[in-house]
Amino acid sequence: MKLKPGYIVRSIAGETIVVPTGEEAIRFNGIMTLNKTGKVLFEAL
Amino acid sequence: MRSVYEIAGIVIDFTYQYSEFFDQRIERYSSNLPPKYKMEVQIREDFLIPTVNPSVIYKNRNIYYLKSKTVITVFKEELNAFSHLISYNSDFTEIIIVLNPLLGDKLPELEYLLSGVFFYEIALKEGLITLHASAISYHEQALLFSAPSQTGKSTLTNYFLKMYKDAFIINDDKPLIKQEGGHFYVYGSPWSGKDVFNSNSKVMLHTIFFLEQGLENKLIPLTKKEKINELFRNIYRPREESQVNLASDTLSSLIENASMMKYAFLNDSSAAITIQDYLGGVNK
Repeated sequence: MKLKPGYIVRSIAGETIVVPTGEEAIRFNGIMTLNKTGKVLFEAL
Repeated sequence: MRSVYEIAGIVIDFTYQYSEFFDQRIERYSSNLPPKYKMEVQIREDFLIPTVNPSVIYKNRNIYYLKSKTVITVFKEELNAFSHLISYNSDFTEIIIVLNPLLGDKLPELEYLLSGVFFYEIALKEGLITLHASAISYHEQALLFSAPSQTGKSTLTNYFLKMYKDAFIINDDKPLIKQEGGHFYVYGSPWSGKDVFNSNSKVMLHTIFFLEQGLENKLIPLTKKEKINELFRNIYRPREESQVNLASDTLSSLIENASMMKYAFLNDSSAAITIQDYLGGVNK
């Protein structure tokens, strides 16, 4: 499993959010919210 | 036309070429203060395309991340030419928008839209959030009706203005929100969508209503996750990592401290009365 470049994780109001940036922000017009497990996985990749 | 304007506390030296979208909207923002930002729209066919390979190619758009600036070019097949080129430095203090005269009668609208987008980038840099909403001032408090296009933002605003004569429009499309001293304030700007309705005003935020059409008028509290989703669906989204970082703090504070509701509403004047009743209850 590999993390696609261009996605960054930020804490917003205590929630963990994945936000597309740069080129990915043009391709993907959305955000993802992660639970605790998702956050651990995201940070491990 | 070139002049200096102060918009939402941001002082900008702005040059535009067409008056159609700016007449009646921008003069009220004129300022004598020294500008921090400069944005210029030029109309010309000779586009200075960078000679290096683009950093990003997406559909008809090339993006060049150069040492001193970023350049975006957009190619239009129907023109068989570049339709526009935008260059800006990393802190958005120098923005140049070049439009191809071959665009003809589309030029004024494209000038208005692109200059708006880059003003929103500047606003992000200055800690302001741009929300897709119709914003009205009522009893010196700002009510924001936010939703994707065609949901009925302006319709609800018009019902409200007809029923409550002391209300006025701050911005009918993209008001700006800034946190100052523990409060949120809503600012107008000349970029107010298809209508000219905007005012050079700063009004304390009361509530953001995220709209959806309903079978009855119903105000529904939002969970934190729903607030995040609604905001991200309706804000002008930061694209650069540095801009995301700048927006994160303001968004966090907005989610934790500002009043936000979902509002399922009927398309008639009763929708405005429900809002007024809600305000009466809250302000008692």
